[in-house]
Amino acid sequence: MCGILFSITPATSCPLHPNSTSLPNLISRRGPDTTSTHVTTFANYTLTFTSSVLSLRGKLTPQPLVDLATGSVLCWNGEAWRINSALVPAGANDAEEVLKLLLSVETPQEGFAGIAGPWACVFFDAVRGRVWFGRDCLGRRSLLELREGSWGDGVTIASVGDGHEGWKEVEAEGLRYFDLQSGEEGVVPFLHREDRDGSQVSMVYTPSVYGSAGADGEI
Amino acid sequence: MPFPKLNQTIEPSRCLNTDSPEVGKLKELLLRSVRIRVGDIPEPPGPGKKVRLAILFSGGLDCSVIARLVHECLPLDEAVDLLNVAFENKRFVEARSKANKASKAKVRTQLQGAAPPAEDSPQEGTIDPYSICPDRITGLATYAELQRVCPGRLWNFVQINVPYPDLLSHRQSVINLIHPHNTEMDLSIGVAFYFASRGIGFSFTGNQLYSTPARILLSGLGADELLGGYARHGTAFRFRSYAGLLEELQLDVGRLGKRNLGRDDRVLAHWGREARYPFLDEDVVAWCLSTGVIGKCGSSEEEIVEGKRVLRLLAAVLGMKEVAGEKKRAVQFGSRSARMEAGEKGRVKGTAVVS
Repeated sequence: MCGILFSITPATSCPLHPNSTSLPNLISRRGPDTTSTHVTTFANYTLTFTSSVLSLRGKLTPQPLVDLATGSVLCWNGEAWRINSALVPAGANDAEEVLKLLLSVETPQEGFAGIAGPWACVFFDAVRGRVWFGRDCLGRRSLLELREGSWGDGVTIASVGDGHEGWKEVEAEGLRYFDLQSGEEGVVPFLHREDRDGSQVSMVYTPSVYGSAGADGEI
Repeated sequence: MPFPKLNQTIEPSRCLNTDSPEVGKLKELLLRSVRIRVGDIPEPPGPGKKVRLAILFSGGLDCSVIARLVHECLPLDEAVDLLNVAFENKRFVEARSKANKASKAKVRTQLQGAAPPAEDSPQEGTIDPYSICPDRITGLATYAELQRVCPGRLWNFVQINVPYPDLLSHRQSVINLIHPHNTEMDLSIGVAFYFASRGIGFSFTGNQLYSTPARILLSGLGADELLGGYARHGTAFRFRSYAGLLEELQLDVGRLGKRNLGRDDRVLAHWGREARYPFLDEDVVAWCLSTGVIGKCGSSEEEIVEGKRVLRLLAAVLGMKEVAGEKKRAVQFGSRSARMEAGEKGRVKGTAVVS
């Protein structure tokens, strides 16, 4: 799989991932073929993207992927098998296809709705100044979040934590975003086909309360 | 969201059989799902021809159907590694050793003064803790069945044996990886996947130390939730017939996204490999959701309680007669990674927070 380590820090503070030294190593282990970092600033924030790649689709394609025209950035840990019902052909790199898709649609949720396959990712839309992140609706890939209070004071999003307290699982219930201009954050829930017209029912957001232990202890 | 809601209709009861259209449809969708996931795997780095694909292999129904379908999708000269993990579990070794002592004592009283039998039962301390693990026993049986049913294919059965001291030395790493999950059950599942994904074990033939070069691991995960494979599905059916079963399935479907795949991803990816789940393919999931409960489970009470009827019939269609009757067993119990310590400590509950 691939590894994602992304952080937002106020521009005044140190522009590196603020966490423990073990984290970059843990991320690199997930994607032993290449690890790269891309740093950019937007509004009053520094955005640091680190991605490691386990190369399995097409030629080795280092990440994060940066769109030179807009400055948008994608950290992709996934396998897009089909995009808008069409198979991603053998030999093509799915991360590149996903970035193309996200740059071509009106809203990221529209893009992600067309992807079949497991994924977790961070996408910085430099045109609209929003950071989008999330996991596919079945939660097949990991993504964790670490912050102390408001995201604007600093937040880290990563495939794996370093074991320290405070990491939370990013729920697979919708696409999350931080708006770098307004300071707003939100979630666009994944909806069932039947509910797309408006009634706000999402498949993964059922009313019952389930323990984090889940079902797999049962026999 | 590519999924419809769970079909709630209960059609007139009927017993599925190997000719039922549902069995054929499931085969078609699973085959397509497996083909997408194994069709374009690059050669792992380094010189020479290498195994590209491994299967997390307990020998149970779900992973075995996947293995059988892989055979349909890969050229015959592609060998496939079957990763089978077993733990040295003090509680079971202790219990077996006591049982052996008891039976030996019995033999001695029966054969007073006579020479010991040539085939003496193993001495205390020589019990192989791995060969008594349920998943090892099932794994070997299904490995043999796969060899019979898939002539021409090389399956490497890899015995991943985890001695207790090895478990202890990696325990903290696994605790860090599964975080923020933190229960004993998370840990016991986590260590099973951790060592399985490390991929180092003894090859069954030749008993040499072997490390899988495969970077792709297939898993049968998801079938229990989608097709009703847990014991509570059977229990619900006993009490409230199909309506009860349907209610349980609805619970499972509702929490698919809350399941623990994130935790498993963190553990499995640590060794630079990628797990793929053919049962969680969008088209397979959508079919399981839109097909009525009779079309997935319809049968006699006994067979419904056994679980995953349509998948068992598919196994039979694929020639896996023994696998078709395999019982469900959770990985931490099958590999014996749960409750490892002898005595009191071994009785800790799965929901307890790891200390």
